[in-house]
Amino acid sequence: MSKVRILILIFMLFSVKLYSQTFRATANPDVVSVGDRLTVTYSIDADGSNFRAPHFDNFKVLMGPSQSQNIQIINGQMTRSLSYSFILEATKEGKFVLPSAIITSNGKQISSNTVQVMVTNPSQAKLEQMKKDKEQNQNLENQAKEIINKNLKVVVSVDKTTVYEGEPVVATYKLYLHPQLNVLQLTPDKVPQLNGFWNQEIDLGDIKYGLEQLNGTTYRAAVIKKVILFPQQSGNLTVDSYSFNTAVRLQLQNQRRQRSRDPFSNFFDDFFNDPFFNSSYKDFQTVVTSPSIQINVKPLPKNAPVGFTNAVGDFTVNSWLDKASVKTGEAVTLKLKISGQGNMKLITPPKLDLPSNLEVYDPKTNDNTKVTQNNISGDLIFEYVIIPQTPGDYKIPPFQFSYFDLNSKQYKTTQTNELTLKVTQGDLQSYSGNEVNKSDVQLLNQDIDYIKTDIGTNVSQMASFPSVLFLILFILPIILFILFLIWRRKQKEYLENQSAFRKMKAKKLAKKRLETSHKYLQESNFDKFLEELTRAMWGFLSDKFSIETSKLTRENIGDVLRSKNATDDTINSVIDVLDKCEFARYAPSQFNDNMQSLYLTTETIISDLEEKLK
Amino acid sequence: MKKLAILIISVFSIYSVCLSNDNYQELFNKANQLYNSKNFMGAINVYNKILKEGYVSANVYYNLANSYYRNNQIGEAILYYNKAHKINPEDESINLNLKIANLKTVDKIKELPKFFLTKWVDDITHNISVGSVSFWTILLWIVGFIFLAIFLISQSILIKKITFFLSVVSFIFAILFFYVTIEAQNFQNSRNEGVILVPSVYVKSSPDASSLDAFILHEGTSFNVLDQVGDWTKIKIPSGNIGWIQSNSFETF
Repeated sequence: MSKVRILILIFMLFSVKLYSQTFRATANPDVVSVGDRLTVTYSIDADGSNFRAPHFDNFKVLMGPSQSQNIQIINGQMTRSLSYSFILEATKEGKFVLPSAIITSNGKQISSNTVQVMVTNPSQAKLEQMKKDKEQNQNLENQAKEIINKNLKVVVSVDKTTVYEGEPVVATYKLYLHPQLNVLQLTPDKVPQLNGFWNQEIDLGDIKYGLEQLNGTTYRAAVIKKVILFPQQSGNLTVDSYSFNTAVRLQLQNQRRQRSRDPFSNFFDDFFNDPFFNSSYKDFQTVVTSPSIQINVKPLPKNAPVGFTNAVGDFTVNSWLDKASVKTGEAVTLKLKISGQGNMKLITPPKLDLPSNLEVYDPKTNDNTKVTQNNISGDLIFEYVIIPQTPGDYKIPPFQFSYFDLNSKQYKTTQTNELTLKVTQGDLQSYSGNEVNKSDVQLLNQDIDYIKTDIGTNVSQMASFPSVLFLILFILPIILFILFLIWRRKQKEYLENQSAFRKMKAKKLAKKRLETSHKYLQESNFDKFLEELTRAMWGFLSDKFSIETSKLTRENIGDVLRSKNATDDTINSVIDVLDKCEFARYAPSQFNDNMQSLYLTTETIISDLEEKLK
Repeated sequence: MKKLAILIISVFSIYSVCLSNDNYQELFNKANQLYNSKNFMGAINVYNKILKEGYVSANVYYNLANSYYRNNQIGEAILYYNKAHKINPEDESINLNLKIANLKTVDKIKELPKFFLTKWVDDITHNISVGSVSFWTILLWIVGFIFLAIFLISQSILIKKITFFLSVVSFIFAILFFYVTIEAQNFQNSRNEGVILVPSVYVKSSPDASSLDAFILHEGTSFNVLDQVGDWTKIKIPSGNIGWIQSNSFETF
């Protein structure tokens, strides 16, 4: 907007004078030799913007574009001009056309003209001169470097070159300056990487210089870097070099004096001397690098104890609880302190071995270590927050800490004391995350059954098993069964006794009947006699063999007798007697005189049977 | 049947003296009232008094255990539920509450698998009442003798065969039941189980306070008592672990 206003103003004021703007390019000089410089200017006699420079092939742009604005007021007429210039260096021989540039002016794009530049070969003398200059410069640089390196040194030193893994090594970088060396600038170029080490820089504060002898020369010396290195791996490790970029102002000897002598003599010989006489100064930039040092790192012995976590040094451990008793759900802090010196920064919070009912949270680490001259010492305090879930007396087992002791070159183990923690039931209900079965889950929501209202049977005075009743009921069937068996036996015995009785009485009974029959015989009552005799015979047999009289017949008597092992004679005589008796009963008359003999025969047979068949 | 047996036993039991039963019932009712009014500590005291005076029953143990449970003394609750269970193994309320109380313990111990026959015998003998099983023993015993008598008297061969077989079967079962009775009685009389009554206790690997801690047990955990040396008791938990604890940290049931 403002541009438009200005334009309007311009038009109003100088409406008479209206011409087209010109955008011109000029090169100065337009004939150069290789290595020379030339200035290219693009100028416009009006306001312009959006300048776009061309690309200069075959030339090296040393500077530009630099813009300059020119406002001229002559006799009340104002002319403006704007120019952009470049400084180019010719790099190649030949004829070149510098391309046109483009600018926007009054809303129009304007291109400049092109410029021709002639680049010629430099003359032989000039080349020689250049070469000589270059050589001289090179010489100068080399000698300057030599001088600088002699008088400005960075030295690295270590306190040990053979260490164990984890054993601290102090590396010191020292700067030595000749007191009369005029150092303009000293900036670190390459900071040591110190790969393979865990390193801890020692804070040196302000750098203080002191005078120090080195190889017979007195220098201003200062420690510029001090670092404690903890080797992290075994093998050969390198303590890197430290490089500085430096600019030093040196005094040059007078050219004439220089020429009068050997051109390559020590023209810096007395560069400190006589600053006001025939001398000039030149600044030199160079890089000063310290040497590097190899450190042989030995691995730690193999017999590391369990739980060794690469701690190397000298340590003690200590632990305590902030409260001796808590309620469930409340937090208690267990503090574990590891103090001593060594690679403490590398100690990670140990995992505590606690009962599962104590919930432990990730520890907080308080680092109270300090960097000393050659080690790290102090203490590390790990704070573990514990929240007990269930009441009880808990023991927190001793924590064991193993380290490699550098003095004795052995592993050592220290341990804390056992701690006790009393946990009482808190108000907060805790739920331990124990797994439960599905059926248990259902039960968990169930309340216990209600109490019983009847007191129940008192069992304290009740006879315990086997109770009297049980014994009675147990023995009773046995007794009853035994009684049953006895009864059965008695029954049998009775029956058997009966037959034995009859057997025993058989002869007696038979005798009685025989006597009766004998009486009838004397009375000659033969009928009665025979009847009695028959009865005596049959009764005897029946009693003797426990066979009922009704079951005995003349037909089976033989078999019965035979079964009782009677001889055939006996059987025949028995049957004969029985037959005779029977016969006589039906025909008594024929038997009258034989009655006596029949009686005697019967008596003989009975006594015979009695004797033979027991 | 079981009730009949219990009835018979209680009627026949020459020791069952019921002189001051009314007094006990009165105390019992008082304790129940305290329980109902949520004065569990009071109820616990009264129930314990009943036990101390010599009246021991499953129901007193059960109510006492309920009071302990409500008073958040899980260890004691489990102890008395177990005692009640031993007297009356078939009571459903006792068994249910024991199960619920066992769920409240901290230690969840995985049981070692047992030989199936041992497990059967244990399941039967731990959950059957001596009264009912002894009733069946007697019944089978008598029946066996009856069959034997019939076998002896009978003249028929068929009847002899059947009754002989039945009597042998009855005797075999009577002997089996007798064994179960003895086992159940042994279980119920045994006091070789214990329950932890303190919030937590370290189980040592030997009967010595300075020996290594084997494991930690919490209130309410039950275990088997194996041995006792002075003040120390050797225990075995269901997972098979064995250790020693001080005798004042638990009570047997």
